[in-house]
Amino acid sequence: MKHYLEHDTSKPVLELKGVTVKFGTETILDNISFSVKHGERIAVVGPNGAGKSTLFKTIAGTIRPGSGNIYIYGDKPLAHICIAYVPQSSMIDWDFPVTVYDVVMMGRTGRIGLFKRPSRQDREVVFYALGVVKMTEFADRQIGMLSGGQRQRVFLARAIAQDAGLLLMDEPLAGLDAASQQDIYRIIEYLSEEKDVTILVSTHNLNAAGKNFPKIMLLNKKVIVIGPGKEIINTKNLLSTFGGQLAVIESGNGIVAVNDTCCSHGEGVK
Amino acid sequence: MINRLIAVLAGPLGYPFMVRSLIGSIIVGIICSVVGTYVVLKGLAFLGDALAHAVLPGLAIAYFIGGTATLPLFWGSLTAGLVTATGIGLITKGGQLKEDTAIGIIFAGMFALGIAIISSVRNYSIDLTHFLFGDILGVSRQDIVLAVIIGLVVLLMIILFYKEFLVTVFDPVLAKTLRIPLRFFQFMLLFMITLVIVVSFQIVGVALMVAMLITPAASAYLLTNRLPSMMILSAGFGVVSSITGLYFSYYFNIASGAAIVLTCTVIFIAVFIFSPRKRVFIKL
Repeated sequence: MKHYLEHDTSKPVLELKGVTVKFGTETILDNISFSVKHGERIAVVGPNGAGKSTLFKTIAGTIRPGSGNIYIYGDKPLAHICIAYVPQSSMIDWDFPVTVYDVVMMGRTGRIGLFKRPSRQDREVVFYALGVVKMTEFADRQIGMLSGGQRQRVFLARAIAQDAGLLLMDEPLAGLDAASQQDIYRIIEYLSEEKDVTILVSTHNLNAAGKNFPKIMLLNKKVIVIGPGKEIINTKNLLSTFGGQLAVIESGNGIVAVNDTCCSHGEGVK
Repeated sequence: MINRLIAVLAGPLGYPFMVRSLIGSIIVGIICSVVGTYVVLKGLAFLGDALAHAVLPGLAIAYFIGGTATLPLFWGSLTAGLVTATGIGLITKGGQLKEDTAIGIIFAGMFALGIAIISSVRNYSIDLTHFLFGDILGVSRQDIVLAVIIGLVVLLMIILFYKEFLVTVFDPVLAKTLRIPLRFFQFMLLFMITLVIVVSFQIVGVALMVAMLITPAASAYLLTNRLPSMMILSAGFGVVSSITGLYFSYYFNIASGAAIVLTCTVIFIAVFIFSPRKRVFIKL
């Protein structure tokens, strides 16, 4: 038996059918169904507690849904090792004694196999990935000694080293300045357009999502709507996604949405 | 001058029991300090102390069956230690309770079970705490053989599964998406730490074992950027503390275990004050 499965590209990369996730009695995800085609790039937008992280973890296979089915290249979650999940920055122990190189090499672990050391090819892949995200010169730096943007780029490099076919990034832009956000967008774009990686990125920033992603999914426990930004962003959809947290003002030449969350990056307390 | 130095160094080595405790504390220093890096990184400093008490029921049963022989006592406490580790692993499985909470629950329960077993035997007179708090100066040849075997097994596992343990500790979600058997490696790590704790505290006592598990690893943590260098430096601190402590204890008539622990502590304080990370911290 092969350690990992080949991809059947005729099937959707990702397909969710009636997925429901509950923690205790609280419903986090309610009857989620959607499918994602090969090479699509989607921003998942929703308020705090909308279930964005839970959705990604369920797809990655670390949370088992209470009901419903998930198919990745037609198989169950955890059948493939090509799903890269980039956790929220706050979930990483940045003081851990690992260098940039070590973290990117972790992406190779599944392919290197038990009892074996990384081969020359593995090292080449790691440095190729570091080159793509322009982090080669920081290879030997401890990860805590990096800026926010650099930290995100390291985890993108790990996804590249992992040969990820499906990339899930949880709030990669939270707390980054505009220039660093642009760097991340350019890399995401490159991976999507040149490498055919299917990408889902969660964010609070509807404006940036509209600019940088061909498709947007509005999520608040349920999938409110999924489609190109221009078609789906309207008062009705925004109100059902953000509810009271958002003031929507319709004017002659567009929609102004005022996000009314308590903290600047929407992180942390509700 | 050189002759004088040799005389000072050779002094304690004239006593076989000092040689044995030197070898014993060096071996324990190495394995505790290396495994201790995982303990420090996972934030499980509480585990050493807790496990040393949680093995009491195993120790009690082994004593009633086999008396004071080293091996039955070792197997008894190891069994109880593994039961404890398994319990901790199972309780934290769903992610609803944190590891330190699970450790607290199981440790209290196991310790009470041990007391219950001991108190139910009417003519129980021997003080089991003697076995619980071993003595560094009472190290036997058999203790050393046992520690060497366990040490080699543990170090071999750390080398063989280096990258799997690294991913398991640093990013469990990645381990899962890479189809690395996460639960298996988490349990294995816990079992390995248990093995080291059980063999160590029976040889050198609880206080010295806890110090060896945490302090050298914490000192190394402040000085290094990679796990392998942290492990090597930690082992170095463990060995240096063992040797320095024992010589101090011989020449200044200080309790041996205390002298070793204090050496560990002095090294940590020096590192804490002068560590480069700390300096960066101040600059920020």
